[in-house]
Formats: sequence, C-alpha cells, structure tokens
Amino acid sequence: MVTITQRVATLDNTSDDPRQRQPLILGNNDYTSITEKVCGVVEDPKVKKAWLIAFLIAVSLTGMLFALVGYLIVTGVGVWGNQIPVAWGWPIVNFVFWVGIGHAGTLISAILYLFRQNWRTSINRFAEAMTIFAVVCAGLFPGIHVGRAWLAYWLFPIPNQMLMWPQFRSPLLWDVFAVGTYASVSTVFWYMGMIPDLATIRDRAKHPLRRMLYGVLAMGWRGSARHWHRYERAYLLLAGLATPLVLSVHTIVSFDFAVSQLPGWHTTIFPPYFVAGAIFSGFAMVVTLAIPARAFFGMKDIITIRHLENMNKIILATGMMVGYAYAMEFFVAWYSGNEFEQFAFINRATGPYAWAYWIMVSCNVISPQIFWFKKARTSIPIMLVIAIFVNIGMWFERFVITISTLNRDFLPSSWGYFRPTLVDLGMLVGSFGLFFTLFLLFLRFLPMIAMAEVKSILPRPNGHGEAH
Amino acid sequence: MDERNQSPTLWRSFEQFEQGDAAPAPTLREFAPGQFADGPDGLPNFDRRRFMQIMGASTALAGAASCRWQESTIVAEAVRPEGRVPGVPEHYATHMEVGGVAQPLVVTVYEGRPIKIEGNAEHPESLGSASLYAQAAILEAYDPDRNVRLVERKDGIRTEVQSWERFDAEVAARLEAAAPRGGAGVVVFQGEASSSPTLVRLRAEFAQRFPNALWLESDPLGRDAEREGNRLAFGQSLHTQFRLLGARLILALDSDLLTTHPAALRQSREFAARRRPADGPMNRLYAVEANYSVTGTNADHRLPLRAEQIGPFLAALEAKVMEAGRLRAAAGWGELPAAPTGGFLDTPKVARFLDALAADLIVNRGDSAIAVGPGQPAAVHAIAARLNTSLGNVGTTVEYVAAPGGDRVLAGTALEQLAQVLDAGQVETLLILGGNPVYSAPGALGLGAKISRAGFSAHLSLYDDETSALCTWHLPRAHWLEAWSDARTWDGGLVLGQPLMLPLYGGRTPILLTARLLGDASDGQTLVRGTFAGLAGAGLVGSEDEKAWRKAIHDGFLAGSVATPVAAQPRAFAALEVPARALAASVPAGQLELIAPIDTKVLDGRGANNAWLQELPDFVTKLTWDNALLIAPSMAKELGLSFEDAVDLQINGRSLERVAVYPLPGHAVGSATLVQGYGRVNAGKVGGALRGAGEQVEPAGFDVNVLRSRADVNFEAGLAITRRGDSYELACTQEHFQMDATGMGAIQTRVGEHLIREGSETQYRANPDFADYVLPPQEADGRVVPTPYPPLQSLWAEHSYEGHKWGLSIDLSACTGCNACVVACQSENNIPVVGKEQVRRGREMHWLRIDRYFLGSDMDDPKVATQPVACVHCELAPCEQVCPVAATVHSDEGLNDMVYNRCIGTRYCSNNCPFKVRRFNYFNYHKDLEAPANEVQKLAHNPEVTVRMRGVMEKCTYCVQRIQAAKIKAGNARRRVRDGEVVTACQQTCPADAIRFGDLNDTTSAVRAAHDDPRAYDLLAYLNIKPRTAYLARIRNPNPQLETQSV
Repeated sequence: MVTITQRVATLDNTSDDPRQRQPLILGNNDYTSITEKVCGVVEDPKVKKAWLIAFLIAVSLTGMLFALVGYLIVTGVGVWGNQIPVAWGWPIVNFVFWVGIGHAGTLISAILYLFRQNWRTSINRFAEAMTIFAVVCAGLFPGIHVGRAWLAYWLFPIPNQMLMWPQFRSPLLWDVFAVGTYASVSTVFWYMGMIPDLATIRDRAKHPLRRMLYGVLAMGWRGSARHWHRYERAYLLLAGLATPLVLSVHTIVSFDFAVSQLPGWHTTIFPPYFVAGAIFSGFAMVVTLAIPARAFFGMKDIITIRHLENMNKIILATGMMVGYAYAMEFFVAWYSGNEFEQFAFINRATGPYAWAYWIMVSCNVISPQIFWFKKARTSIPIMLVIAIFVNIGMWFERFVITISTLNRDFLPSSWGYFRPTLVDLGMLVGSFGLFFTLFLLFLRFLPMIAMAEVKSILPRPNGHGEAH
Repeated sequence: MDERNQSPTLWRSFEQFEQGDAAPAPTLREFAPGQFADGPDGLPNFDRRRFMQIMGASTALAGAASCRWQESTIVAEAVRPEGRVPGVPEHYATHMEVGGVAQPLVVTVYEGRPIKIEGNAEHPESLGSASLYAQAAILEAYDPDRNVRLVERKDGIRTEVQSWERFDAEVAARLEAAAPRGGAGVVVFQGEASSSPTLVRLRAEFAQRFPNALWLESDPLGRDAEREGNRLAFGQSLHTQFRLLGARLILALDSDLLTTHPAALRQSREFAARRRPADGPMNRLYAVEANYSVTGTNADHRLPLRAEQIGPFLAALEAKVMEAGRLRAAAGWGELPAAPTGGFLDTPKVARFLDALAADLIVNRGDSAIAVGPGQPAAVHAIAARLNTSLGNVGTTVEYVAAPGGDRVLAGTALEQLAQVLDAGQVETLLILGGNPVYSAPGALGLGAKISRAGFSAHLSLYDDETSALCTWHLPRAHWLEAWSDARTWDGGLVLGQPLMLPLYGGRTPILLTARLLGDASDGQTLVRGTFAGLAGAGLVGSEDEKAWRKAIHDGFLAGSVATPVAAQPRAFAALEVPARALAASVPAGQLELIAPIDTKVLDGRGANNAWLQELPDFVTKLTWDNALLIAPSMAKELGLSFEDAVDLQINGRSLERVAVYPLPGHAVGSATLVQGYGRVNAGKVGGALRGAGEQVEPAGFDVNVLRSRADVNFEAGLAITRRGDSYELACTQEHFQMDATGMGAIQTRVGEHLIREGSETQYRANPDFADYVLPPQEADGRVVPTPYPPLQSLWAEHSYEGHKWGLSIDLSACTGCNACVVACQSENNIPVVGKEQVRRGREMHWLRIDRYFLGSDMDDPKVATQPVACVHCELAPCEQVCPVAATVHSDEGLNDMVYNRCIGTRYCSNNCPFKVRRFNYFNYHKDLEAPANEVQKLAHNPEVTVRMRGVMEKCTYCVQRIQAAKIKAGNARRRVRDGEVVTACQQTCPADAIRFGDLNDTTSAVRAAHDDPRAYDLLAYLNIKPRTAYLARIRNPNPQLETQSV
C-alpha cells in the first residue's frame, strides 16, 4: 500500500480507499508555505507576461462592450436582433447565463460550509469572486435591455413625484430584488471572508501605500481571539443567509418565464430545473477557471485533483438533474393534453431551432456522462473540455428556452425567425471580456485562496497531524 | 360639414376676404414691395456707420439664411372664420379619381391641414368606405418627393424654373404656330383616364379650336376591355354594373370584384351582406383565376386556370349552360359558335367544376352574375355579356350603363398610336397630362426612346418621374386634395371635389392646364362651377342655382345624377379565337404564361412612392416593399426553385434579370404572375430612385412592364424562367415558405380548430353555435353531444364594469381580407413605416394585421382563411400582469391602455401576449421626419394621437381618441354615448361592414348583438383571458356537388 506521505509528494489524493482519509492539501505545505504561495502572487513586483496579455485582451473586449452599450443607448435596442415575436433575445439569454454562472460561488461558500465540506476551502475564494463578477455581467444586461435605458431606475421602488410604484405582480420586479439581494449578500460574504487574509497581506506589505490600502480593506483586523470569534459567528450567519438565496435567485429568474403563459415557459418544473442548471453551469465555470489558475500560479498542491474531481461529481449529478428536467418537460407537455404545449416542445426538438436544442442536449446531458469514469474525472484535459462543453450547453439552454419558445407561440401568423446581429455577438463576447478583466484583477491583487481557511484544515504544526 | 371658401389666406378687410382669390387686393400688393425689399434700402450712398451696420447684419444673417424657412407673414385671425373652432376637426366632402372612376370621399381637416381620408357615408358607392389607395393618398399629398417647381431639361441639363410664365409663353407660341394647321403636330396624351365633365368640356373646346390635334387617353387602370366587350356584344360602349345584393351565385373570371374593381366598395358591401347566414340565404361565389385576387380568396370554390384558359372555359361553360338548361340565346346574337372542347376542359377537375357550375347557374337563372376581369380580352367580356343576358341576369343582378367618353379609342390602341406618331416624327408639341406612360407602357412599344423625338414635350405629374425625365418640361401637378374637380362614379353619378388646402407646392391640375392651353385663366372653382351650371341644360334638375351648387359641394355629389341603365340590344359577334396552346392541359417549361396584373396596393405604380402602400402586406403573399414572381408550388418544385431564389425571365425577345421567386399555393400551374407597379427607377426616396441627382434608392420590386408587349390584355405566352443561383431577399410579414413540417402541421390543426372557425351553411343551419364547441364531441348515453369549453375560474377578483364596457366584433363571414382597415388604422393612429430591412427583421408596426393561412393538403389548390387581428383588449390581460412599471393598465371601461410615458420598454408584455399584437419601437421610426425636407410629412399626423418615441411599446387602443371625443360630446349634452357614436377607424372604412364597435353594457348595441350571435367565439378562450373582441365564425356556402373536392 502506498503511504499517504508518498501520495502527498506525488500530488495524488484521489484514492477512494475508505480506510484512509485523503489529505486535501498536498505537497508538504505548512502555514508558512501557504501564506508565501498565496501572498506571493499578490506581492510579486513583476507583472507576468501571460497575465498581461490576457488582461489586455480582456480589457479591450470590455472596451468593445461599453462602446456597444453606448451605441445601443444612442441608437436604440433595434441594433440587436430582437423583434416581434422574439422580443427577448440574446441580452436575456446572456443575463440568465451569467446569473447561472454566479451560483457556484455562494453554493460552495455557504451550503458546503454548512455541510462541513472542508474541501471547499481551497476553491471558495475565487469561486465567490467568480460569482460576483458573473453577477456584474448579468446585471448589466437587464439595465441596457429596456427600450429606454435612461428610465430603467423606474424598476426600483423609489418614492417619486409621480406617486408611482412599480407593479409588484411582475416577475421582472421580483428579479430586481432577487438579483439585487443576491449580489449584495454575495459581495458582503466574499469580502468578509477575505478580511483575515487582507490583514495578512497588510502585515507583510513593505510599501506604505500598500500597507495603507490593504489596511483599510482589512478593517483593523488584528487576529485576536475575540475577532476570530465574531468573525466565525458572522460567517456562519451570512452562510445561513446566503443559503436560501442560492436557491431563490434562480428560482425567481425562472419565474420570468414560468409566470408568463407561453407554452414552453409556463411550467412548474422551472424553479428546480433552473437552480440545478445554475449549479451545473457554475461548477463547470469554476473548473474552467481553476485548471489554468492552479497551473499558472503553482497552486496544484492546494487546488488538488481531488477538488476538481469533487466538482466533476457535482457536475455529473446536476447534469443528470438537468437531463431529467428536459425529459420531464416533454412528459408533462404530452400528459397535459394541451396541443399548444405539446407543439412547443416538439418544435424545440424538430423546429427551426432544433440545432440549438440538440447542441444543448449533447453538451449538457450526454457529455458529462463521461464523468462516470474516474479516469475522466481526474483527467485535466477531459474535464476542461467537458466543462467548456457544459458552459456552451448551458448558454444554449437559455437560448432554447428564450428564443425557440418565443419564435412560435399561439398564432402561426406571428411566428418569426430570430437572427442575431453582430452587436448581439459583440456584447456576448464583450461580457466575457468584462468578466475576465475583473477576474484577472482579482487574481493579481487579492488573495485567490482563503489562506486562513485552508490553514484550518492543514495538519496541525509541530508534527502532531499525521500521527493522530 | 361646412363648405370651404376659396378665400385668400392673407386678408386685410372683409371686402378682400369676400372677394376671394379671383380679385387680389391691389393695395397690399403695391404696398408690400416697399416693405419687403430684396436688398438693403439706401445702398448707393451710405456712410461708414451704415456700412458697418450692413456688414454686421449680413455676416450675422449669412449663417441664418441657410437654416430658416422661407419668410412668411402671419396675419392674426382677429375674427374667426365662420364655423371654425380651433382644435375641432372639420370634414369636407371631395373625391378621388382612379382609372377614370371617382371615389366619393370625406376628408378630416385640422387647422387647415387634411389628416385623414374616409369614404363619403352619404354616397351609395361608398357608404363611408374608402379604398386603401384613397386612404393612403394623404401621405402622397405631403410627400416631400413631390416636385416643387417646373423642371426644364435641355441638352441633358436639368434646371428648376420658378414660375409658369416661361412655360405658358412657350406653349402659347407653339399652339399659335400650330393653329393655322388646325393644331396638326400637337398631341395631348392623357396618361390617366378621367370622367371629369369639366375636362370633357375643355377637351371638346380644344378639339374645336385645334381639329387636327391628337388627343389620346390611355390609363393602365382603365377598363377598356370591358367597354369594348360590351360594344362587341351590344354595339354600344357600356359599363357593366353589378347588383350583387340580388345575386345568389357569383362567378368571377379573373375578376377582382371586391378590391380593384371601380365599384369594389359597393360590391364588397353587397357581397358581404349575403354572407351573413342569419340574414337569409347566402350567396355562392365561384372564382376561376390564375393568381389570387381578394375575390378568389373568398370564393366558395376556386379553380386555378391559366389566364389564357379563362376564355375557352367561359365559352365551354356557356355551351354547357345553354345545352343543359335548354336555354335559347336572343335572336340578335345569331347562331352561337361551337364551343371549344378537349384539352384542359376534359381534365377531371375542370370537367367536374364545369358541370357543377353549369348546373348551379341554371338553378340560379336570373339571380347570378358573371364578371370578367379587365385583363381578359374584349371577346371574353362579350361572351360574359351574352351569357349574363341568356341567363336572364340583366335587369336583376347586371345592368349596363353608358360609359362616359365611350367614343374614345381603346387604351392599348391609343398607346400604339402615340408610339406611331412619335416614330413618324409628326409630333412637334407633346403634352402628357398625368400618368407615367414611359414606365407603365409595355416595354415592346419602346415609348421611352421615342418621346425625345417630339420637339417639345411636357409632362404634368406629381413627381419628376420616368416620363418627366425624358420630356423637355416637367410640370408640377396639384394634388387632388388641393384642387377643384368633378368626375363620375362607376354608376355614372356626378361628384364634386374641393380643395382641402392651398397647393403646397403650387402646381396645376389637368383641368387647369387644359384651360390655360385654351387661354382661359380662370381658377378651378370657376371652371368646375361653369361645367356644373352647363350640366343643368343636360337635365340635371336644380343645378343652376346657388343653393344646388352649395348643396352639391357640401354633399360631394349631385343627388339624382346616376346614369340610367341602358336596354342593350344583342348583336352578333365573332367567335372567340382559341389558340391550341390555350386548350392544352399543360405547357412546356420554356413556354409559360406571364401574367402582369395591376397590383392591389400601388396599382400601376402610381402609389410606388407611398410608404404606407409599400409596407402594407399584400393580401395573399404578405409581401412588403417588393413584388415577386408568383408560381405554383408544384411548378417551383419542377423548376427547382424555392422561395427567394433569383431568376432571369425571357419572353419573346425581352428579358428581365434577377427577379425573386415566391411559390404561391393556389397559383395556376403553367403560368407565372409578376404584378405591375414595381421596379420604378424614378419614383422617389420610397419607391426607388436610381436616375436622379440625389440619394440613390434601390427600386422596390421588379418592373414587369419591360416584358410586356400588349396593353389590352395582361397575359402573354412564351415565358422562360432561368435560375441564377443567387437569391433576392424578400420581406414578408408572415413567414410561410421557410416553414418546416412541424410548423405546417401545427397550422393545419390549430387554425381550423381554434383560430379561424369555419362551417358550411348547412352546418350552420343545423347547429348555429357550432363555433362554441372546440372539444371533440363526447358520447353521453349513446348520443353524441358537442362539448363546450369547461367554465374557467379566475385567480383574481375580476373587474366589474359599471359604466361603459367597450367591445368589438369581427364577422369573418363578411370580412374579405381587403386590407382597407390596415391603412385606415395606420392613418388614424400615426403608425410609422419601418422599411424593408426592419420588416425582414419582424419589426413592422401595424397595429392591425390580416392573418392569412393556406389550408388543405393540395398545395396547388388550397383553401385560404383570413382573419384581421389587433389587440383584443383581454379583460384578464396577460400583458398587464407582467409589466414591471405598470405602463399597460386596465381602464374601468375595459380598455387595455398603453401609457407611453411610463413604458420603459422591457417588452415582457409582448412576450406574454398570446396574439403578438404589440408593436415595439426598436428605433426612432419617425426619425426621418426630422430632416427639414421631410418635415412636411408631419402634417399628415393625427393630432389626437401621440407620436410614439423609440423604446416604447404600442398597440391597438380601440381608437381611444374617438371614444373620448364621443364621450366629451355626450357629456356636454348630459347624455350617455349612443350606440354607433363611437366608430373605430377600421370599422369606419370596412367595405364589408364586418366590424362592430360599441358598449357591451348597452343591451341594444350592435356589438352586443354580435357578441351574442351564436357564431361568436373568443380567440384562445382556454387561457381565460376574456377577450373583448369577438370573432364570428366564417360560414362558407359550398356546392354540395363539389364539396368533397374542396378541403
């Protein structure tokens, strides 16, 4: 039998041997090495070339995004392909896609925290960052999607001289609250969890400016027992608060569709189906981001194959849930006996957008099945490909739901075929630019791994750890 | 209605005001120059100070000069003209002449600007309805492309000329020179037919003064074939009048009785009156045609035949009817020639149709009407006249009246004659009054190249168009909304037209120009009134006195002036020549038939620069901004062609490149249709402008005229279609032909079952409320009982409607799908035009659309179902529940209101609307009106309706502005709004009278009765949305003998 020490040295902790608990951190790391590694990225005075290139690409895409937004606001939302009957097009697809991505972070930090899943500690920080940046991307779209963007603030219940409240029966309004709450709680959660690590960076900082900036961010953290006590309490409370939000935000996003009466949208399966899909896509995105990040910043021993494998298992599970939902939609449509409902689904699979439907099914249902095999689950190239497939598939899922439902509803006379424009494409690409700009900045300037938390799962120093 | 004075807009005293235009006040004219001198006064001797002043002022004004309107003087209306209340619209009766036939109209005028054209409700030829073309003319009047000035073209240089003086002088000199020769060398070509008695009078005067001058008349919209056919049959030029109220059977042979016929409005009403089964036995309509007409889409039985087969078909039908009915033709006809046999007549489908139709005609002797379209040769019309007479229809359903100006040469002959005299170099002076012969004449005549052979040519028209471009002079024409006129309706009655505004761009009417040629400088009013007085001698009672004139102007027509039917005497005529290919059941692919009918929207192209007409979806193809080569789907398959494929066309040595193909179900196999009126290169910024100096605009559609060789019939054999390999993008509002099997299947099941409910008259008599039962019948103790939809429960407390409860109903049985309501809605509600590219994107803005479905399994002979759909104002409106900012809300009268100010444009309401009737301003679609040159078009806007900005949703309001106007009026009189007081724009113009609007709480209202009709059903009732618009199921009246065949 191979000893754990050997395995730690070979960075392999994927054994499923139940007799021995596998370590989550490999490579003979101790408290110091973790701090050095994580803070080293932030403190490195040299800008790495690869990072710079990636950042410049991302920034220019962001620039394009905002230029297109400006063009849109000056010209009109007709620069997109939206039309009648497909009044919601790519902007809403992108919105739902990004909100979905934004699910993994909070799920990892909050729900897995409550379930005492210690492996989360290695990935929660950047998963949370990813969540926030995805929500930023998502939040952009509804705002510019409206015909008169300069009046979008009417969506908020602001007391005004017109004595007009928003219309509280509209799911779009619920959306505003749901996404708003989610964004704020996730941000607070993320930031709060970062305070001890920010204090570490502050303490290590040599330049007074750095010291001051990180000092302000660390909010006077001194690491006293009282601080830790309060911190743990608050973290637990926020985790409790964030947990229902993980479920609620996509439930409410799904209401945008489910509450309206279109065949293909008006189904009760949407809330669980959307939540499962969101977690599915969120984890796929974490995997997509974690693989290059751990390689690039030398974190393979902190974000280990086991972490990735765990995530792949979740991808497999949620992928099956999504697949079940796809099948169940068909069953319910058939069982309803409503011919409009039945047509909506037959049309999805065989109508003008059948290609999108089958891309969705192949990517989301068929491709993750390979994760039944441990070899695939632990193979970096395979999981990267599958994760990207899942991201594509989940974008198409939203495309199928939004567009292939709208393009053919009740009256055949008003059926139409939606064609995106270059602006649609530019904004989708640009939103990735925005996402990566924020994410690259995060990697460079903030601790990407929750040092304090990772340390809590390390074997205790002074040699006790393995002997226990 | 108030009569309108021809008073000057500038007046200083009552004397001057009352004297009118005829006597301009000399004092003001003399006074003015001193006040508004062209240059700075006292220029010759100024000092330094003065110099600086002028320099400063010039510099300051130099910039201002380019951006200012032409200076005008405002004279305060210190005393309000009689009858004018600011902000209250006025209505004036007038008329519009199309193809030499007047349509009586009433125009709504706000503060001196006409904004809406409706039919004259008092006139029996209109009863309030107006054709879509007449309604769209409001946009034409304000068209910025209309030419403002005279244009002289010399040696290829185009100069704009300010005043008429030089032209008048030149023409006068030319006429004077020609006078000794009796006017030889002078040709007046009337490009538009006119029944105007004034023009007839002036023309006679002209002929008297210049006996050797040639006066020709040729209008592509004229109905000369019919006139000539009747002359063949009766020896007299006659118009056929149909009295469809009495007709139990109508046979339309390539004839569009319901839209393009000059009396289509009256005929639609009469036809529709007998399509309401509750009002008595229904009529039965048979149509035989190659391409669809509105009449064909409404037919109980339709037989697609090539246009060249219509004649043989009718001849065979006549023989069959005479033989089977043992009828004898009147002695005057002589021995009837032998009817054609064999060929396509023996195919089972045609033979069966013929037998059934002949039997039906015999049964309905005396109650049937047979109509032949204007594109068929005169001989076919003659046979129809003979058959109508033999069946005893004359006097009951068919009448003949004398055609005004019936002695003139036929339109086709006139064109040939013009080409001939031009060719021979006999034309010194050519005056073209209206029309656009260079574009609309058959290409084989080569008129364009010949016009320049005239030493001097002038073209009077609204636009500097294809014909103007080849003439030495283009003369701006006054729009009919700006001029005095008179004309005759199809029934021969006299109608009068008055100006609704002063000419925007100056210009003269053909009447005025002819009068000037004769040296008569009087104004339009004097000329028309002169004719009117003269007609008194012709037996029009009371027309001589002032009162009669005032009443006629007020009413828009002279009561009792209708022509009396003529007792026509049969006269034998030659048998119809039937070429062998016409009898052939099928023709080879390289020898197809090309049909070039008049378009239902832009007519012969005169509406090509009218954006409303261009964007109006065609009644059957749903095409906008283009015409296309229509062919039968089976033929398209055979030729390997599909929707939007580009093809080249060759016919008898002429060719046309890159034409889009549109496979149209129900089109006759063996022929191809390309309608006239498109492909104009000098129409304007809307219809196409390639030759002008300004912005280049691609022509809308394809010019079929270059392929034509004859003006008297609209079909020709010998067409070859060559596939190019590329495609041409068309803009359809209903995407039918890119549809997959899944979609087609859904149409077949849901249209008949849910959306458009139909039944036969027999079905209706047995079970009048069949439309209520949408679930399959269920068996209860052995009996089959139809199941109505189960009652639905609402989740919310429903509104209660204490006061008014507005509702609308559309009788599908009466509706013909003619599109008139769509234009009425567009005009009333300031609906923008979005352009071809936006229509292709699915962003057309029409609040009211006509849905068209093809049903049945045979793509070459389907059934057509049409249905107008606008917002149905659901009581439990799905749109209202999802709007996050409460921009669409319910009124306490049940209107689903749209608050434009509040709308931020989430478009959620449109997604949730099951009818997709909401329209979104994806761009600022009124942006083009901001250009200074286009600002004039803003005058066409209805001031009662908000012009929507970009980013807001809009939809049908049930004409809420009309509801409010009626409520205010009733409120002032302290009474409730009466039934019939609120008339929506679509209802107002509906020629078939298919739409009812009113208060559903009023138990006596017409709309309440319609909602309670057993035929009434709600669209998508299962959604529990409780629509306020009810549809009345369409009842068809198929011939039992043919029923199994029709689907």
